[in-house]
Amino acid sequence: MILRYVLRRCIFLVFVIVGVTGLLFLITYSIPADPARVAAGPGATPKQVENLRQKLGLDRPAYVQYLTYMKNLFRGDLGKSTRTKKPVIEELKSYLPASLELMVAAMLINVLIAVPFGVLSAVKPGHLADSVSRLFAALGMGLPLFWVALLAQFIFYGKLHVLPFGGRLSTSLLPPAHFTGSFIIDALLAGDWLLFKDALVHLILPATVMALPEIAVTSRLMRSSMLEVLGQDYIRTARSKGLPERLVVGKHALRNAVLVPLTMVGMQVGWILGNTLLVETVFSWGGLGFLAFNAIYKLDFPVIMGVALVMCFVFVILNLLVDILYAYIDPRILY
Amino acid sequence: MKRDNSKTTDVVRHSPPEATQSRGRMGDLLRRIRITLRFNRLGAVGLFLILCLILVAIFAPLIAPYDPSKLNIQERLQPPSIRHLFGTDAAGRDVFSRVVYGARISLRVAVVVVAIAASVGAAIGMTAALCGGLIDEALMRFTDIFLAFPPLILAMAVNAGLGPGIESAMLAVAVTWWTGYARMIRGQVMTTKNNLYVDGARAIGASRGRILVRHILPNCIGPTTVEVTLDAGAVVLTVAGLSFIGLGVQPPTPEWGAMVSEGHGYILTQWWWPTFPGLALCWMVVGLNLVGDFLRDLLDPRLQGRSG
Amino acid sequence: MKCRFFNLLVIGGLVLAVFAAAAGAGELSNTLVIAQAEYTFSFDAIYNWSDVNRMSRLAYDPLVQYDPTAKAIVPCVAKRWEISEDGLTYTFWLEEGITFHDGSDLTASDVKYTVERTVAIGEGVSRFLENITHIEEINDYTIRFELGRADSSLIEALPALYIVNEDGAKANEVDGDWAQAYLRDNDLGSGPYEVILNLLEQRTVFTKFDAYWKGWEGRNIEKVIWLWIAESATQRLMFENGEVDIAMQPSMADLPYFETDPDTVVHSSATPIILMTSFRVIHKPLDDVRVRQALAMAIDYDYVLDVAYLGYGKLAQGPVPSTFTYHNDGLPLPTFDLDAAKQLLADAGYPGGGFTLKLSYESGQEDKVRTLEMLQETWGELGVGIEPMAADWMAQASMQLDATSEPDVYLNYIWPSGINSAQLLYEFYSGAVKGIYDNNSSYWSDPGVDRLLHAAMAEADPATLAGIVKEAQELIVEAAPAAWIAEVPYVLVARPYVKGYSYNPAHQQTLDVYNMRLEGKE
Repeated sequence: MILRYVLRRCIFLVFVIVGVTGLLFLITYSIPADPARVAAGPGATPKQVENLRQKLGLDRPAYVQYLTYMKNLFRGDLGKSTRTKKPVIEELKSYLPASLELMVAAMLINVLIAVPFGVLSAVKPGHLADSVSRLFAALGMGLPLFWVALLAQFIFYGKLHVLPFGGRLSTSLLPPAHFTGSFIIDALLAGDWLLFKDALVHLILPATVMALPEIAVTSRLMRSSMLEVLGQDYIRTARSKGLPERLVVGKHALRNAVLVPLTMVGMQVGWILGNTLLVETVFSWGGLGFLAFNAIYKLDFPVIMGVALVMCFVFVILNLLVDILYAYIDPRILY
Repeated sequence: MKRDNSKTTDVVRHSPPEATQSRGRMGDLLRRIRITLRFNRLGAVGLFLILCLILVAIFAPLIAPYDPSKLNIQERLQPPSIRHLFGTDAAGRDVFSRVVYGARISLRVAVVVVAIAASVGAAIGMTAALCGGLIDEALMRFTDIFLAFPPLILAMAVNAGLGPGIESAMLAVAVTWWTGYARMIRGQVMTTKNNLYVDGARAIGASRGRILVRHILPNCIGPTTVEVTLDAGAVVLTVAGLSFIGLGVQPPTPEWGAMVSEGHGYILTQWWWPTFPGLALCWMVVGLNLVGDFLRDLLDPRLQGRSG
Repeated sequence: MKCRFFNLLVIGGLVLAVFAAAAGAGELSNTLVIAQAEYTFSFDAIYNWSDVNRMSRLAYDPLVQYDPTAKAIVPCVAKRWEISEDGLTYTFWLEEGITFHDGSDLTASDVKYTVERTVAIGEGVSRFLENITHIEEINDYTIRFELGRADSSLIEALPALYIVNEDGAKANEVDGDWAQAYLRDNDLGSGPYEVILNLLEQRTVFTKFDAYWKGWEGRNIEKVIWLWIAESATQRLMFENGEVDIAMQPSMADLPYFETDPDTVVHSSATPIILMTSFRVIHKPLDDVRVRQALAMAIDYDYVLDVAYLGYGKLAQGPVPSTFTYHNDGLPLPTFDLDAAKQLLADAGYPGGGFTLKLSYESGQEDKVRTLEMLQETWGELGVGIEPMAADWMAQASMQLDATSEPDVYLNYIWPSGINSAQLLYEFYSGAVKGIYDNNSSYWSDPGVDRLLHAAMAEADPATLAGIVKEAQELIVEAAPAAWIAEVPYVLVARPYVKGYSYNPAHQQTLDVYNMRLEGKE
């Protein structure tokens, strides 16, 4: 049953990729700037621009270009960056791990903080703890992220000197040998404890800032889901049986209530990936956000396509995983 | 930041609209507001914040002591004082006046974007749910494509295509925003469609249109209102984010995000320039979120039961 | 369950705090640490002329060098050179014993390859080299360029032609890309420093090249770390915390602070970059010279100097920077006179203005934003509206090039690609470059000026050349295809122990680390 479902979702993934690339092609064609002109650089002569247009196949009809792109895509070739001249796939390989590392850390912080907050808020609605956690949630969504990032950097680096300004490693250290691209994992693989600590310390500020709005969402979801569960019959039964409140909430209710926030994890990862830019800039993180920002600013279309595809891919895969996990936790769900 | 709260906003599905019609509607509503406020005091705070903001936007010319875009070289980068409550920026403009006028822009952004997104989403979601079958499948997969598309990238690309400016920024954000509404309203209509009282209405021969208007639509209004309020804040932040990277409004428009962006290099020396617009943004988003929470509690029958 | 979460949190916090205390800095006394905002995405030598790559100067050597104090071209890789009477043949004798970073010798064949590569890619200084019709390697250390027509500007463009290692480039070429992909993370030069690490968007590390042909006597900078810090506030924090020796682009906001800090030296240099508003003369009503002059008179020049450049800049006198030879200092200085501007506008048939101009500017550049705000007010007084259009440098360049693009006015720079007045005027105000280079953003030309400029390009006699170039400046200023506002200053801040910094207009906004020293850095 579940196998069939996974199969269906994989077909769906292909469908999404076709849709996303099609959408991007549409946007590319509606942008007034000439991609060949941009790719040739500002100093190029009209003749050089024409040569490049032919070389890149930009003189052919749009649908031919699209089909060519798709054909290359399924061979794993995403084209070359017009800015750096490197294959897009290489660019993605060098930028993605940093973002994934940041994203995973942010999600961990999110869950660790948001779930207790949400539970606390639901157990005693209207209580002070509820108000505080709801206010915190509203603030988490309301504070402009770039502003919080600057402020956090000012306090923890500029004034207190307890955390680094940003970057992924101290300037005096060299990165570990490249396996995964995540410095934390690579340092562990290399058995370099100092490097591991350093990489971890650099992760604290950006990941926490990045997690803030997600904490707000998760804790609110947790609260309402917990409220719903606490109103269910079996909780009432458990209570009437005289089980201690801690056990009722901690064991019976929490397990069921956590399902709703769980479904959102996949979505949240998508948002985090989409929002990396602002935080990465402040903390000089050098991830996908930088790549996307530069590509859009320099109208580097092959890279824009590549970044969008990767983000969609991560998004769809994660949601698939969440669905499977969901089915595993709650066997009532049929596909 | 695109927020999809569809999983939690379908709480009113148990209460058919007829239930609230039985007694004096106004009185009932007031009673519910009173009860909800009793255990959600933050709701009152939110209502207050948003009410203030609306008043400020309406009476901006009366409140603002200066022309928001008038340069004044003698008064550059003045710290907050009686003359300039929030200080002045590098061009000598009064930050307080700019923040006050900014309320108009941000409110307009919130209303316009959410209105476009919600109506497009509602149309698609409702069509999908009512038609079902192949049309439903096609529309929802179409929605999924937009959902999977990284929102900031889509907004940036659309904005770059349309050229910088507040109108294109709003449109760009709306393009990425409707998916949440489409999914939510589809879900809402699906559940209502199969409810007993709708079956009943169908049995006594009510027309499709009548069922839609009298039974299905009213049930969507509650969750949509909550969603819209919660979303408005995120919309304002996203447009501010676009302005922050130079794609949103153009100078000298006093948009809060653009002001934070322009002033952020001054955070260490003239902190008031980026800080007050940032706080204003925060004011609005927090207010909208608290109001959204409040509305959700207001519409939640179980909470009413607990306290009433 | 709940409590366990909180316990976890507390423990996690404690662990992280221990880590934080453990992270320390290393030994950096012979290391120069630089913070800069815009990331350099390539070490390809051809990008060195623009602001894309400010670091290639460390890794490469040019044929000849420009000495800003003597205002003269001096030897570098070429120890001497000869230009034939007719200006059509250039012969260079190269230093022997120069090695690239991979240990191979720099020979005439590398120079030939560099020229061919630059022309083929078509970026950077290629426009100066297109005149070269034939290159002859006379022997390993002698090379001759033959030109199709005489070009007085060629020699002054050569400081920007960095010699690339031919064998290295060919070995790393993929699909005929002239090794451009390889150069994203590596260099192929013979310069004093070589790239050893390039952490994307974070850090680039150079170490000294021990076998550098000019030697290392009396020099002590062994390592150069370039940190890419997008936010100026972060740059300042790092500078304050002593993590950075030089901040390349301090925010104007922070300059007053740095000026009063005894532990900071503010280096301000005049540059040949000029801030201007270019008028699209092919758009109505900017086709009328009186309208253009009126708009030029309605610019508050002092405001720009005071507010946008905090007193570091200088009023521009026409399109040629005052530091260039053949700058015409007899030209009238621009003035701010709203009444005269209104009168001129009325004479042109636009009493009270009544039109709106689309103005394109580069977003995120503070001097331009400040100027734009001022223009909105002063041109507004004339009844002329402004519709601002923010654009990226690249996007703006393609609009400037395109005859059909929308903007009526560009708020942009004269960013000279060389140090030659005639070349500058030719690139910005001759009819021949319209639609070919993005520089002539006004789309303006005049047959008289074109004739003068063509004559100047072929003229060898300095006195005659001076006369021609000065006359061309007069004609251009009279026609007002643009309003030249200010000579843009370049300001960086450094610690007092950083010695030997100087500005070289042939290498805009770069550091000559080889000639710098660290004295007493701890």
